[in-house]
Formats: sequence, C-alpha cells, structure tokens
Amino acid sequence: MNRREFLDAMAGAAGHVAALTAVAWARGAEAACGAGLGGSDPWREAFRAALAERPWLLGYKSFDREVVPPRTARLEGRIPERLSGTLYRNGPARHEVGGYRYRHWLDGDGLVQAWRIADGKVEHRARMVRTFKYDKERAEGRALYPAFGSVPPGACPVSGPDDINAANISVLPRGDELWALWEAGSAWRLDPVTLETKGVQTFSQHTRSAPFSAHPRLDPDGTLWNFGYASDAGVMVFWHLDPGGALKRAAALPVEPMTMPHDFVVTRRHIVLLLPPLDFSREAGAEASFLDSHSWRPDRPTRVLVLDKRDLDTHFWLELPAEWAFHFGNAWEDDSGVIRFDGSRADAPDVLYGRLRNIMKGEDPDPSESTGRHVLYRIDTKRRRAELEPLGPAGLATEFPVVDPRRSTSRHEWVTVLAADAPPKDGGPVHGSFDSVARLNVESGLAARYAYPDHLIPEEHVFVPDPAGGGETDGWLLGTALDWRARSTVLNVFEVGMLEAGPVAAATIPEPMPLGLHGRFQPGAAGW
Amino acid sequence: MGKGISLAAALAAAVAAAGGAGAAELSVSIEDIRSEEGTVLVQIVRGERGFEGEERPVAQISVRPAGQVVRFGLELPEGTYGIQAFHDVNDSAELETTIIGMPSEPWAFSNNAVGAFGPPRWDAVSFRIGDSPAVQSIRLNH
Repeated sequence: MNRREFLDAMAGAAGHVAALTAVAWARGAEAACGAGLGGSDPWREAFRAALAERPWLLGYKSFDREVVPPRTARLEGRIPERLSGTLYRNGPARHEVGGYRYRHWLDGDGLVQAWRIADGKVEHRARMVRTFKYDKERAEGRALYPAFGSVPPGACPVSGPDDINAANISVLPRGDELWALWEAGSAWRLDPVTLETKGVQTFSQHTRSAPFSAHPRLDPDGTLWNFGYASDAGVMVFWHLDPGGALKRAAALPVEPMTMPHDFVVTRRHIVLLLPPLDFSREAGAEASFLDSHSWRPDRPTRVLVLDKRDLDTHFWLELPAEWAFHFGNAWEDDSGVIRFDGSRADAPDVLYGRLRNIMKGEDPDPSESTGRHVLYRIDTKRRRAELEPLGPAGLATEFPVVDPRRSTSRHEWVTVLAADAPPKDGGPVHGSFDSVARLNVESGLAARYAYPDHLIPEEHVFVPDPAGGGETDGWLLGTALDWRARSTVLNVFEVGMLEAGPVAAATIPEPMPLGLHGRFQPGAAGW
Repeated sequence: MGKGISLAAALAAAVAAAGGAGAAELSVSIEDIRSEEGTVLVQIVRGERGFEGEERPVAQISVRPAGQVVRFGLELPEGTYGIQAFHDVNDSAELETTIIGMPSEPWAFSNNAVGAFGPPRWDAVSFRIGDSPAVQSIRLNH
C-alpha cells in the first residue's frame, strides 16, 4: 500500500468509526455501576403485600433457584400410547435481583422447563439460562443492567443487545441443541437433556449479536425463517436457516421509524411482518427503559411489509389501521397470490404497557384495556391490498394461537388459543387471566372450549401431532397450568378433537413454577 | 514492533515540526492484539472536530502486529486529543461491521472509552497534552 492509498484507507476507516453514531457496539467495559438499592424497593413491597391477600399472584413471584432437579410427576388419567417427547417451555422467572423487583413481567431472567413424556410417565426439570447478564448479576448480587421495561438504579451502560439478553421468551429444539430465545439479541444454546447453558449462538462474525426473535417460523421441511429488530441500528434483520440449522442468508432492511413487532408469518413465497405504529426513539434518554423509548401513534397506520423469501430483499409495503398484535397463527398463500393468516389483534398495546407492568406490583388488570380478538388477515399480493375481518365468536379474548405444525405455510382449518370472555361473565375468573383453551375454525368461526376451574391458571397450549394420522384432529394439546390453591404445577394432555371433555391425563409436580410464555414440543425425547 | 516505532518516529517528527512551542511526548500502547494477521491502524485526532472526521487526523500509524502489543511515542503540541484504533485483520482497509453495524474487528478508543449503543462520546475519549508526558494504554475490544 502506498502512502496515498494508506491515507485514503484511514480516511475511509475514520469515516466508519465516526459515522457509527446509532449502532450497537461490542460488549463494553467493566465500569463501576449498578448502584443497588438505597433502601427497600416499593414495587417489591407492594407485590409482597398483594400476594399475601391474593394467592393467585403466586405465578409472578420471583424464582430464585438455579436448578430444579428431575423428578417424576404424579399422574392422573392415562398418557396416550403414541405420545412421547419433551415439552420445553421458557418464561421470565427471576423477577427480583438483589432486592430490586423488575417493573415489567417480560424483564425477568429466563427459566427453561422440560416436561419429558416417555413410557406413559412424565418427568419435570428446570434450569435458569446462564446469560452474560444473569451470571454477572448473580456474582454481584444486585441488578446491574437495564431490562426491557426497567432501569435499575445506577444501571451499567449497555453497548450491545446481548449485554441485556434475558433469553426468557421461547425455546427452539435445533439439531442436538435446545435454543433459548429472547427477542432483540442472540439465541442461547442449551443442552436439551440437562438444560445447561452452552453459550451464545453465533452463526457468523457478520451476524454476531444480531437479533433473532422468539418466534421463528418453520417450513414443512424444517427450513427456518426469522426476523429481529435492531432498533438502535434502524434495521429489521431477516434470517434463513437450512433444516440442519446452518445459516443460508441473513439480510438487514432499513426501517424508519423502527418499532418492535413480536411475531410474523411466512407463506410458501413470502414473509409478512406487521409493523405497529409504536415508534422507537432514543430521545427519551438513557433513563427511559427500552419499552418507554417507544411511543404509540394510533393516528398512524400499521405498516405491512411483504418480503420475497427467495432473496430477502424484494418487498413492498401495504397499510392496515393501527393495531397491536403479539401473535399470529398460521399463514398460507393460494395460487392467485392471496395470503391469509389469523392472529390475535388489539386496538392498542394496552396489555404491554398496563397489565404486564402492573402485575409486577400485584395490581389487577384494568378492565378497559384493549385485549386481543381473533381476526383473519387477507393480503392480495397482486392487487396490493390488505384487509382483515373478525374471526370466531364475538366477546372472546384470545392469545397464544397455535396451529398444527404440519399445516405450517399451508391451508389450516383450526387454531387453538387461550381464551377468556370479554367482558368477563359473572366477574370472570378470580385470577383475572385467561381461563380457557379454545379451538376456533378459521373458516366457519365455530369454537370448542374447555374452561379451567378458578384455581388453575392456564399457560400456552401447544399442538403435538399424532404420528398415526395427518388430520387436524389427529393430535394432542399439551398445556401447563399453575394451581395457585394447591401450590403445584400441572401438565395437561387433551385429545384435540375432544377438547371440551377436558384433559385425558394430568401430570402434577408439587411446586408452583412461575407463569411463563412459550413452548415447543420435541418428539422422541433423549434419555435423561 | 521496530517497524512501528520507526514509522511513528517519522510521523512524530513531522507533527513536532508543525507544532512549535508547548509540546510534550505521548506514549501509546495498543494492547490485546490477538493475531498477527493484517494491520493495526491508529489515528490521533485533535479536538472534537478531528474526532468527528471534520478535520484530518494529526497522525496516522499503521503497524503489522508482531506480538500482543504495539507501542509507539510521538511529540505533540499542547492541546486536546483523542485516539481511535482498530485491527484491520483482513487488510480490507475498512472497519468491518456486522449486519447491525457493530464492529466485527477489534477496536478501541483512548481512555479505553466505550459507548452505549454506539461509539463513545468525545468527552470520554479526549485527553490533554500539556507540558508533561502523557501515556495512553489502550486495550482492543473484541
């Protein structure tokens, strides 16, 4: 390199260094930070007082153990003969660190649980995901880092998303590993048997620390698609992995303003991402949590991004009215280029800013909050139109939609959801959460429903295909519930086609596990 | 390393000639170099305008690494300075970045400053050169 080239190169490099004004950098220095609490935390005190009066808040108590060793669950009923495998679940669990209670349910460090079903028996075990954040905070005994919806006193500077990755939203069995998924950073690799953390998942240097959302979608052949929001970098990242888990392509699409979609859908040809008008801005400053760095703009549309799967580049934009949707069921595209998918749609992100925050100090949900209703979206890729219509019975709030995984990207008839009457009938369940599991027919809107008794709080129920049949009733629903009265946790097994009849088997462990988020079932479990 | 020193000495002489009165010695070490591939590129900038790339750096040093540390010294006129460095491992002459704009090659700033979701601010990077010698020991971030 001659002198002229050298100077040009340095000028170019300097330009790069100086121009990176709004991007995430590598993990930073060990500055003195994490002031800890001056006294007792009012949120922690408020929650303790509320829990003493309302025992159903048990599911939001901070979980302070690291490992729950394997144990055999007490079984009622009979496990179906062809059902074997492991239901993995993840969710926020360590809600308090060094006396500081997080201000949002989605902040707590992730706890992965495994319910292994084999030879008609059920075993349970659980383990905290040992992220960078978890290990450092455990070593120091205090909250050091900001979380999704909280900024502890004197929080340490964050130089990249994986500094604060809590690995607490979902799981994904992949190859001979289990991945614990957050939303805005890397996946964490776990041993699928012991649940021990093996490290952070890096596909390549070029994609290091790039966001890999908790809602990847699988094609029928196992090909994986995912997205992730890199808010500070102003880009939406898209991922394409082969069935073996190797990276085929990753792409970044600039989006302005940035927002935080939680889920997306794929068809045979397209990726569809709905971008709610919840605008990201760092103007609120470092004192504001990531959640509070967003503002809701109901006057603006939901942007609909339709992206070609083949190159992760060709795309077009459509619009829908302002909405907030956590989750979608399944999408499929017909030969005329019309995409249909179902999802649980709310008029505004009230649950995110209200219920999921206030529960941390033990407050009941505000009944005026906008909660999800099931809708059917229709996107015409030829005429470039997007629209939606209600789906299922009026007055039914829905969440956690799940579709037979064999139907992924093809036409599905049924979706299973957690449900509740909205507004509640006769005051609703005492715990104020979802009280039912329901199946909705996406074509006729007909519903079947099983209502849990008041002392059980159901969590997401997943669809497990019966290997002996291919229809959408050939399978089981597996779902956990917290029994706050008995202080235990139950795994229930339903025959899909006989949901109203209640569980055919229930496996109980005598410990109230924290209420969590998402799970995946891996058939044919490895030995423990 | 000898190469680095000789190169730096030449640069330092040029800078000192331009500076005049009120100059002092700056000793720099760039540490935790983990491979001998590529080139370690270091820029010394003067003032915030230099840091923002609006003025040319006062010195630029390029060293083929041999070992974990590169050291050099130079004489600078009185003023406020900053140092930015990166290890151009693949000799592309650019700081490689990831898909979300994070550096994917080792980098560092004077005072070992780091930023929050971005590069550090000038007040974290800057240091004074007055009448007495200054030392900057900078560890690369990987």
